[in-house]
Amino acid sequence: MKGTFTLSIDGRQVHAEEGQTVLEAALAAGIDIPRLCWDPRLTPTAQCRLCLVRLEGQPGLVTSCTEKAQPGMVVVTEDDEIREVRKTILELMLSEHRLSCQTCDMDGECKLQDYAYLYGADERAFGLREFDTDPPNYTARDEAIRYDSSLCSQCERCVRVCSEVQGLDILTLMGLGSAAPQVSTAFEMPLQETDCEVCGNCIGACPTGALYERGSRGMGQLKNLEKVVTTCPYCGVGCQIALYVNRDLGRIVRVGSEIGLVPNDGSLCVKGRFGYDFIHSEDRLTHPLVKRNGRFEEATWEEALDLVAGKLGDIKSEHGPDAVAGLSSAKCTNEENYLFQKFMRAAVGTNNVDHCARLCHASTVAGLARAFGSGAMTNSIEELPRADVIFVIGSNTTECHPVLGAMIRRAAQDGRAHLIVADPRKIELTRYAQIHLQQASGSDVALVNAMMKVMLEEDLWDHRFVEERCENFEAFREEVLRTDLEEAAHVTGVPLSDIRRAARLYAGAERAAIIYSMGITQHTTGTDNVLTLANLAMLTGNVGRESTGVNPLRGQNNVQGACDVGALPDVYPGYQKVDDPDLRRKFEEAWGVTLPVEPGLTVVEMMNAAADGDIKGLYVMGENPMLSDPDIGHVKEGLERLDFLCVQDIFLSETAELADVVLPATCFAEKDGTFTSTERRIQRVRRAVAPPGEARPDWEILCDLASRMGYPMHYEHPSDVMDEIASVTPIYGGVHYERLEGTGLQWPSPTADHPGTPYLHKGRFARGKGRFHPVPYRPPAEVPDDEFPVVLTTGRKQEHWHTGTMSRRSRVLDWLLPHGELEMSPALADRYDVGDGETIRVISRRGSVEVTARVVDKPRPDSVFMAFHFREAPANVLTNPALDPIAKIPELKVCAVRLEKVAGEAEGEQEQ
Amino acid sequence: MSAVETKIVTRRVGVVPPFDLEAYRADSGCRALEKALSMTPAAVTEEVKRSGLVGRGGAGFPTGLKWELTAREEAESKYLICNADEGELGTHKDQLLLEGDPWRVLEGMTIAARAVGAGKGIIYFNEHFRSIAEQWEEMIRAAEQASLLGDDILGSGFGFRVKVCLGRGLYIAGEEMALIASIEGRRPTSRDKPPFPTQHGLFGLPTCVNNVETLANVPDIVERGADWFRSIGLEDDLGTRVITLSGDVKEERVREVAVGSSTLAEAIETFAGGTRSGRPVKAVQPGGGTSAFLAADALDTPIAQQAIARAGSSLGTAGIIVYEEGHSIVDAAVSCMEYYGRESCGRCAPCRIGTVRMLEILKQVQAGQARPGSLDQLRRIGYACAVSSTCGMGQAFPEPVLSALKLFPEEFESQLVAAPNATR
Amino acid sequence: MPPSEANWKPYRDLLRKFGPLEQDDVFRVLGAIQDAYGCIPREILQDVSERLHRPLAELYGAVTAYPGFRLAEPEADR
Repeated sequence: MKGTFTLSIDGRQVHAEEGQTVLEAALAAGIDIPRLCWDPRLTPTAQCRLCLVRLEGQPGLVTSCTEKAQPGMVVVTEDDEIREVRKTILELMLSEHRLSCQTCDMDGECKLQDYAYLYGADERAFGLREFDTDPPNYTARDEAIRYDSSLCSQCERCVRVCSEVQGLDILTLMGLGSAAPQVSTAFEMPLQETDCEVCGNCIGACPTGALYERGSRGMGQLKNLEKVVTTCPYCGVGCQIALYVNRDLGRIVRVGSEIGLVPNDGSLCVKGRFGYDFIHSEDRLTHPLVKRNGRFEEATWEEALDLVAGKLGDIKSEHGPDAVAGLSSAKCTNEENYLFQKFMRAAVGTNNVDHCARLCHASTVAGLARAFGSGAMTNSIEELPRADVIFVIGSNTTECHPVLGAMIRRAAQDGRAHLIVADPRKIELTRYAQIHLQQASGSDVALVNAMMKVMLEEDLWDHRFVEERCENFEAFREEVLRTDLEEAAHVTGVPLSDIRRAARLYAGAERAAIIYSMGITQHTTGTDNVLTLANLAMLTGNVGRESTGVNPLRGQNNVQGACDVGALPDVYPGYQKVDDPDLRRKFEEAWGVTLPVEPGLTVVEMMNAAADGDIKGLYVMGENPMLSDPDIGHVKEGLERLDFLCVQDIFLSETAELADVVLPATCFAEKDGTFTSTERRIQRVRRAVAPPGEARPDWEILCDLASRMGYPMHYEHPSDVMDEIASVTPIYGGVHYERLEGTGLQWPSPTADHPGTPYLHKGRFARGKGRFHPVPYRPPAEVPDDEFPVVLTTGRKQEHWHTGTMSRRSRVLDWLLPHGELEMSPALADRYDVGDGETIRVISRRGSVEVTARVVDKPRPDSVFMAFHFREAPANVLTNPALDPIAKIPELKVCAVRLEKVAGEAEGEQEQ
Repeated sequence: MSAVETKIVTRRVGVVPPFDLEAYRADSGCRALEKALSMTPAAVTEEVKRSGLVGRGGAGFPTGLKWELTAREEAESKYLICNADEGELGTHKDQLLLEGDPWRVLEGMTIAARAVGAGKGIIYFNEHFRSIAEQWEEMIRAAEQASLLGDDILGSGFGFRVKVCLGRGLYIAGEEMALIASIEGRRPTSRDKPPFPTQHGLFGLPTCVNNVETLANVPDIVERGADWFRSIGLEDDLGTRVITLSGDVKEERVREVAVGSSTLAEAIETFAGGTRSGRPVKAVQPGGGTSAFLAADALDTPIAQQAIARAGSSLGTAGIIVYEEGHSIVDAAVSCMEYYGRESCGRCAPCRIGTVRMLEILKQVQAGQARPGSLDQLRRIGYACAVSSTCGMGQAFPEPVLSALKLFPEEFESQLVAAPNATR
Repeated sequence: MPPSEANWKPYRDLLRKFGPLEQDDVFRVLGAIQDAYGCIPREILQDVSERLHRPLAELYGAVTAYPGFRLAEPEADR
């Protein structure tokens, strides 16, 4: 614990912690000191000099942002002299500031404006200057970020955030120090020609209006905007975002973030900041649609709901409840997912409920539950950068979870943490890694088993932890010792020396954390992969302590929550097994109905059953299997064979186009609720704007439908639903809305006075003892052969997300990355004589797509990579629906393809 | 009375051929280094500490203490930097030593490095010293061959290497923290202390930054002992100062005098032959272009830090700039501000903007276009800049203007628009 | 010779003189480049940035802060 002491500030005795600055101590005590260049996330640089204070017994003034607080110090934060100096400094700043508050969007949140007012600074004291309006600079043609040097106070917060928080060092001041230097990139390159990730955290750090979102210009001054803090709807990191609402327009016109909120502390990524256009898209569904004679017609809610209830009821009575299935949604709130599974189980009477977690982390849930007893991220986001070694395997963190990725990048850059990256591609994090293990896709078990064999051979494992905390070690040890290291090096394509180095580095760490994502899970060996990582963590005693653990990163904003509240075919909320009679009785009592006994079908099984005619009716809430699921051709076949398909969504997605009834739902900005982030943190979602047209919140739609089907569901507000969740879900037992203000709560929080759990398995695993599993290596279901000689792996791009329904409607995101690409190594491009930007056809056993080639030294020479966001080049036409036998997750990460160059226009022109 | 020279650091200048190791050795060169290598580093530091030597770069920090603070730090390696970026107006003392007795400066550096435990040295030259820097490159090669630099200096086991940096025309890069940033390839800006360079300096390593003249004093102190050094100068301000006489003088001169041994007037008369025109002295800046003006009534002040400070200025770099009767003080202030007003590192807002605004206003005054409030504006900006800037430079930039306004207000007032005689 | 077609030879020569580059050579190297070319060509600054693992923007910001460094070759010398 840090020492605390007291000092006097403005005559008040104030408590301070060792290491705190005078400014921090003052702010903590509610004493305000003016400052422009200070940002709590950054090393203080004392550039604005406004925070000057006087220390008793010391001549002159000191900057409180750099002066360390000392016991017994006597501080005066303001007197006549200090006021006068501050006023002069402000007047000097105003003398080089284009005075345009009337037309500046920052009006209302500009620190310079606030202080000028507070100190009565005369903006003309040192004369008025002419400014070029809109002089060209590095943002001149940028669609996302603009910089106006005439409003810049040269505080360098943007430069420093880019370096110290984002770890990218894109910006600098440029020019002679005395000549009002401007912010710039190197050589004034446009941001797009640099490594800029367009996170816009430079905008967030700007205390004046110098940096701003191009799209927000003229959309309302900050003084007139209402700010609603809520949770980002993109990935699972759970960033807290601030939606700025222009009430006159009824629109969200800007997105920011508050410094100090977990987990993102003011940081956002490109999607979080610029990806909100979809909310007010023209394409939003505004009325229920009913398909008549193959065409959609608008219908009233009465008609549409009657029709859905009637059709589902008919199927149920004719073919039994198990002829109906439902896909819930990781995009929707916990409350809605809870109601959806309750609707399926209690109103329809089937356990056929699943959602896209099946496609991303079903193997995590299965694997970690078997090994540890809980299928969730063991530790917290903020702990990870403090690990001594971070082992990132199968996670392109900076691209897919950018805010967390930046934290890891920074930890590695500073040498605070050693980074090991295992990935078939040279992902961005490999630049900062001590070791990059570029294993062949699908060879993870071989790789990790080999590392563990080295640890066993060299006695680098934690005997005491294994002895005291784990079971089944001998069987595991036998299996690992069977690993032939030379063979493993061959299978993985990783030099044995690197495997040894990685093993020693990981095992040698006091605190080592594993981070993984879909590179581990989306395999026919997904559960094996997860079990192997669990083995690795247990072998080295890296579970149940801070900054250690096995940390799956969830891809969707609420995929964790959707699983937690039971949108899965085999469990009720809180992972309570449906085939446990006691638990079933508990839910029958709570819900007042008899519940089905058998676990239901999983996503891919539902599609197969639909194609086979066993599923007749499907209810899809906010999912888009027509782009997200493997082997889309087969999915389409199944959906078309259904007697009845209802899709509830915010857009007419590829799946909705096939529906009989489409119900217009609301997005995250239009309703109250909660999401649960990847670190098990339950966070509030708050309504900021009204839904478009007649669109309704999903939870209300579900209640009306259930009632129509003879199972009345009625709630006043989502908070009532959460109270019900808490009453039947032990891990959520202490979760109530009033406790979620601020930082939210990390489950398990079983009781109303339980503070939540930052890391799991402390002292004892959730299942008692951690269980080792012997896991032999198995190759992927489809390996390259003469006919399909190249490995295709799929994933995401930072600018887009999932099936693109949201991100591709963002002006900025679409500008940054308008179309899909096939990444291939220069070696492979040579072999096929393909140049960067040329069109190439990719063919698998299941289909073919044409896509633009991007030649880049990133994939292995035997592999290509495609993102699955793009409907015009849908990667999942190609992917293999082969399933992991336990988790039923399809092998989206590996399939075999053939490449064909498509005759280009250039060639055609030559012939003419 | 006339002023007398006391030659210690300038002893060989013009007498012994510079850049000539044999000649240097023949004139008792390298003996201090040999002695220092036979002593413990702590004993060397103690000797310098006891001598009372303070920095000659302007700030006057006790050299021995700085060495002790650097030596105290535990680190893989440390740096010794010789600040040869002499750029102060009216100051040429370091230049004289760098080209007149370079081996002495290098010997001082090596002894300092030995004392603080620095294995790496850097000498950072002002851009104008390009040809000197080139000669230094050669000298360093010769020193390596003679085992005066390298991994095992004179068989002592102590290793020290020196790299030469040549500045690029930026005065402010001579400020200690900006100098470090400059060598690091960052924007040359100052920063707040602590941490001090002795703890967290070049590339985060403990770094001792000493001025040329300071280091030039070291060999004699080591060789002849602290007691000898303490016999020169004043009790509270020991040794000699190498002064530069410039401005409205007959002849610009650089001379070494014992601290306190002569007055400003004596030095001007004896060494520089009095004023250029023979008219009386109107004002002087005793410590280079950033020091405050002293009026003629202060000319009998002895050349010593305390006395000059009591008179209202600072001895700084001992660059004595003379202004004779008839020299417009407004013009003098403008000249200073023109030199320094473009030299802010840009870090502190009041200095970055304030110096530029002050120069604008001064030029208006000079052109007879300023309004009465302008002088108060100068005072306000100057005051804010002086009290709120982080580095000595920012604190000092406004000094000439503020002191000129105080000493010669009527000269400024007479040039204002609304003043009665503004229409001349 | 416009900077975009930097002639690499003088740079290679001066690198040879430096031997293995150390972090504390950065300012010296920049100076040597300026002296050899009369400016600091973009590609060469990029190369320095990569060799010394220093952000290009940081080096660029530093270079622009000195009157004695130029980014484009002086007109007269072309």
